[in-house]
Amino acid sequence: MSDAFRNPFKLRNSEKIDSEIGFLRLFSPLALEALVQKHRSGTLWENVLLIHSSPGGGKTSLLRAFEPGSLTTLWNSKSASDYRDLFNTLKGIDAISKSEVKLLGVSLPCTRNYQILEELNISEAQKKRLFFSLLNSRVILSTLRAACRLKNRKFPEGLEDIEFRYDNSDNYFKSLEVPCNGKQLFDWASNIEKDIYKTIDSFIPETEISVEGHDELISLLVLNPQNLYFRGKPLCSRILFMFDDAHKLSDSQRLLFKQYIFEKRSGANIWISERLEALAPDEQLKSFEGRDFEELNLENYWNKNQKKLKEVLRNISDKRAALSSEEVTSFQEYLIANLSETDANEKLSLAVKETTDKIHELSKVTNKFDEWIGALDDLENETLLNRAIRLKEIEILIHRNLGKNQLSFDFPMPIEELDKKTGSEVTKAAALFLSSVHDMPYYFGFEDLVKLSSFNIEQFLSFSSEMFEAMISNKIKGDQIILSDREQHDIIVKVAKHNWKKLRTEIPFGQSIRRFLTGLGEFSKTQTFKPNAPYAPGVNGFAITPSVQDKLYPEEQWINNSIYQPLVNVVSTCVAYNLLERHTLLQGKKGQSHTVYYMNRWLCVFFGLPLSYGGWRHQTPDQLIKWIKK
Amino acid sequence: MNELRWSPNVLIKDDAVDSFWKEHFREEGRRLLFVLGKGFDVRMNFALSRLLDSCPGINLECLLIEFDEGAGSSSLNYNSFVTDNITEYEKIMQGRTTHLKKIKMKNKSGKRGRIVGDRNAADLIKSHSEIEDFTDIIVDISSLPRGLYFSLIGKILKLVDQKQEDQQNLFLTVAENVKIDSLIQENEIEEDLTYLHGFGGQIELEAEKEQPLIWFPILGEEKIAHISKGADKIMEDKARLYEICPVLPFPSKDPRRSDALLIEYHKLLFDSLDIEPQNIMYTTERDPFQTYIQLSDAIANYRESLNVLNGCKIALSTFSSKLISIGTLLVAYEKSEFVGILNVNSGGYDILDESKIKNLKQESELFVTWLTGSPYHQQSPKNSN
Repeated sequence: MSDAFRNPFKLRNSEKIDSEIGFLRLFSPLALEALVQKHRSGTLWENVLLIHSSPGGGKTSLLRAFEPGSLTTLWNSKSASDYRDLFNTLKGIDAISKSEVKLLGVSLPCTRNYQILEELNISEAQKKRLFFSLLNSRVILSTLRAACRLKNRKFPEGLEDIEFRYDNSDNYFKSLEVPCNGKQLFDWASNIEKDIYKTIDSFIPETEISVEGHDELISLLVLNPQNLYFRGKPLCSRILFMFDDAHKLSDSQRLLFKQYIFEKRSGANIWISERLEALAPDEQLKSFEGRDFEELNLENYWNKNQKKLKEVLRNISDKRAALSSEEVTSFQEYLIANLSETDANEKLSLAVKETTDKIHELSKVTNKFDEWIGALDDLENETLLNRAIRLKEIEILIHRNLGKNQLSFDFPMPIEELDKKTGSEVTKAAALFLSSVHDMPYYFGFEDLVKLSSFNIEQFLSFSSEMFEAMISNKIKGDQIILSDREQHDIIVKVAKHNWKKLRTEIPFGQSIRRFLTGLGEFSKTQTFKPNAPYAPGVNGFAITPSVQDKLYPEEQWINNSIYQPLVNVVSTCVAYNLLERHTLLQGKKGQSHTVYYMNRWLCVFFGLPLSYGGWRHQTPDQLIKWIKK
Repeated sequence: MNELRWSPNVLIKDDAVDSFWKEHFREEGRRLLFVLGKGFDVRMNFALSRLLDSCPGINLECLLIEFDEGAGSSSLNYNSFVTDNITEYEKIMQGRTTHLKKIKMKNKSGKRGRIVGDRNAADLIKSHSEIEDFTDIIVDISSLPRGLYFSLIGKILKLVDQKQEDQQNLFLTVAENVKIDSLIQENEIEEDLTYLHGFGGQIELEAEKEQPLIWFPILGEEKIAHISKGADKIMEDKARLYEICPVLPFPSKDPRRSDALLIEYHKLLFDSLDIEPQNIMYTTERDPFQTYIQLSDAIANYRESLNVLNGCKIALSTFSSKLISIGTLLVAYEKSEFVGILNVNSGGYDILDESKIKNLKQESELFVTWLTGSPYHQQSPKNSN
C-alpha cells in the first residue's frame, strides 16, 4: 500500500493507516489534552480510567498512541520537527522520556467472542471462570507480544529474553512452574486460550470442559514492572492495560469485570474504553458510586473545549491533505468562509424588498414601530447582506412585540429599544430565516465543518472527504481549487441526505428511527421558524420529562414500562449510533440537571436547522412515542 | 496443486435436476430428510415441489425451520408471504411428516441482544442418531438466511463425516434468481460482526495474531454498508497485517456484472480501503465448486507465500448469491483450522416490489450440489464436473 493517497480524507480512521509513522503523522497531540489535564491533577496513573465516546469519537486512536509500536517509533523520531509536539506531550505525562519509552501499553480489544461464552450450556460459575480465564490468557499473550515490540525483538523469538519473576506466592499458577521465561508463560496462556476456543467454536464440542479456570483476573495482578524483566533488567517503568470496546462484553461480563477491577484496587493502570449507552438503567455505574475511578467523556471534553477541537480538526485536515497524491496540499484555506454577496446579490435585493414590505404591513395597525421604520433609511449605507439581516431582525422583533399580551400604549418605541432587544441569537435566527426563505447558502466554512463534526472526528472526515473530492475535481478541471459557499453548502446537504437514506437500511429499528427523527425534525422546524423566533437561533433537541401524572415517579418508571419499549429502543439506538447527542445540562432549580438529546449536527442540516446548541424543548414520553407510531 | 476433497465433484444444473432426482430416488429403500426454512421468500417451496413432481412416491420427511428475527424485524411486514408459502407447502406435502423447529436469531437476555442464530441452527440436530435413519439429506437454502445455513450445513457435514462407511448422501439445493435477490433488500445491519459458529477459523486467537489476515469478500450489488462493516472488522486489530482481495463474479450471466460492481464500489475499494488492483480476483457465478477450487488455490498460494510469517489466516464473506456462498462454505469447512466465515447479519429484509417478486418465482433456476455419499466412494463419479 502506498504512502500517498488520492483522497486521504476517505481513509476513515487514523488507526487504519498502516504504519506507525503514518498513524503518527496524522495523530494530533492536542487529542491528548484531556489526559494531560488528568496527569496534572495526579489522577492519570495507578488508577482506573473509563473513556466514553460514541462510535468514531476517537477512543481507539487515542489508545493506539500508547501502544509500543507508536511510542517506540515516536522515540526513534523524537528529533524530527513533525513529531516534536507529540513527543513533548507524551513526555509530559510520563509515558516516554528522552532516554527510553517508559510505558508498556497493552491493547486488549473486547470484541473477540467473549459474549458467546454466555451461550454455553454451563453454570454461571463456570461461565465466570471461563470468562476470567480467557481474559487472563489474552492479557498475558498481549502483554508478552507488546513487550517484544517495546524491546524491538522479533516475535516469538524475543519471548526467550523475557523473564517472568513472579514467585507464585498466591498460588495462582497450577500447571505452570514460575518463575519462568516469556516463552513458557506464552505457551501456557496460549493453551488455555485454544482450549476455550475449541469449547466455543466446535460443532461437536467435548462434553467435559477441562480448562484451567480462574476466579480472579490474575493477569492484572501479576503482570507488573516488578515481575517482568528483559535480559536481566526491568522491562519498563509502568504497564498500561487498555481494554477497548468494553461495551461489546455481555452485560453480566461487563459488570463482573468492572466489579472486580474496582474492588481489587490493585494499583494497576487500567483504561476501559466503551460506548456510553442511553436510557439503560445505569445499574452498572450506580453500583460503583463512591468507587475511585476517573471518567473521560471525549464528546463532553470537546464540547467544553471547542477551540481546542477546532485546532485538532484543523491539524488533522492539514495532515491529511499533505498526504494527498493530487497536489491539493491544504484544506481550510480552500473553503470560503463568508457568503459571496456577488453571487447572492439578486436574492439579497429581493429579500430586502420583501422584508421591508412585510415590516410596513405588520406595523400598519400601530405606530409603536414608527421610529424603527424611520431608521430603515439609515441602512442604505450598509452592505446588502447587512441590510437584509438587519431587516429580518426588525421583523422578528416586531413579531415578538405584537405577540405580547400585556397592555401597552401605542407610543413609538425608541430606536435604542431596538438595539437593546437585538441579541446575537436574534441575528443568528435572522441569518437562518434569510437563507431558508431565499435559498441562500447557509452551511459553509471551516467553522461549520467543525460544528458538523458533532465532536466526532470520523464524522468530520466524512464531510471533509467530499469537500476534498470537490477540490481535487476543481483542480483536474483547471478551475480554482477553492470551494464557494454554494458548493460547500450543496456538498454538506448532499452528504446529509445520503446519511438519511442509509438510516433505514443500516441501523436497527431503522424505520422507527426515521419516523421518530422526522417527528423531531418537523417539530423543531415549527418551533424554530415561528415568525418571532422564540427559541433563537432554533430548536434541535429535547429532554424527556415525565407527564404531569407521572411526575412523582423517577425516570426509571417509564423506562421500565413495556409500553415505552419502542421509545427506549429508538432513543438508545440513536445515541449508540450517534444520531442523538446526549448532553447533561444544569438548568432551573439549583442543582437540577436535565439530560438533553440534541440531534447530531448532520440531522440539523437535513432538516435545515441551525448548528447551535441550547435550543431544546421538554417532551413527555407519550409525545415522543407518537412520533414513532405516526 | 493441493488435494481438494470436492474435486472432482457433482453439480446438477436446472434442466438436469428432474431427471437426476427420478434416477436417484428410483432405488428402493431410500429415505429422505428434506430441510428447508419457513420464510417469506417466494422460492421457499421451489426445490421441494420440483422434487415431489419428479418423485411423487418418495419416502420423505421435512424439517421445517422457523426462525424468529425478533419483534422489531422488518421481515414481519411480509407475514402474508409466509402464510402463502405455508399454504402451498401443505398442499405439496400432502400429509407427509413435518418436523417444525423454531429457532431464535437473537438472544434478548442482554440489553442489545446477541446473535445466536448460527449456534441455534447447529444445535437443531444434536447427534448423528437423529439423522441415521435417512439415506439421503437435502438442505434447501433458498429461504434460509446465511446466518443459519452455514452452521446448520457444517454441523450436518460433521455428523455425516463421522461415519466413515456407508456415508449418507448430502445435497444442497438452491433456487437461484438474481432478479429476486435484487428485490429483497437486507436492512438493519447488525453492529456486532462475528465469525459464524463452527467457522471461526481460529482467526481470533490472540496467540496467533501475528499471522496476517487475508479477507476474500465476494461482492454482490448494493452491499456497501455490509462490506464497510466487514472491512472494519478485518482491520479492527491495528497491529495485525491484513490484505483484502475482493472477489468478483465472472464469468456471469450478465457479462458486465463485474464491471458494474467495480464501478459501484470504486470509492470504497480504492479510496477508503486502499486496495491494490492486482488483489482483485474472479470466480464463476454459477458453479460453487469452481468457487471452492479457485478460492482454495488462492488460499494455498497465500499460505505458501506467507509461510515465512508462520502462514496466514483467511476470512471469507459472501455478499453475493447463495449459490456462490456454498463454495465458501466448502473451503471453510475443509480448512477449518485457518479459514473462517465472517458474516454480516441483517436484522430484517424489505421487498422492493411485492407483486413483481411473485411473478419472478418461476424464472428461478435450481442447482443441486452433492456433498457426500455415493459419488465420492466411486472411482469415476457420474455427472462429474
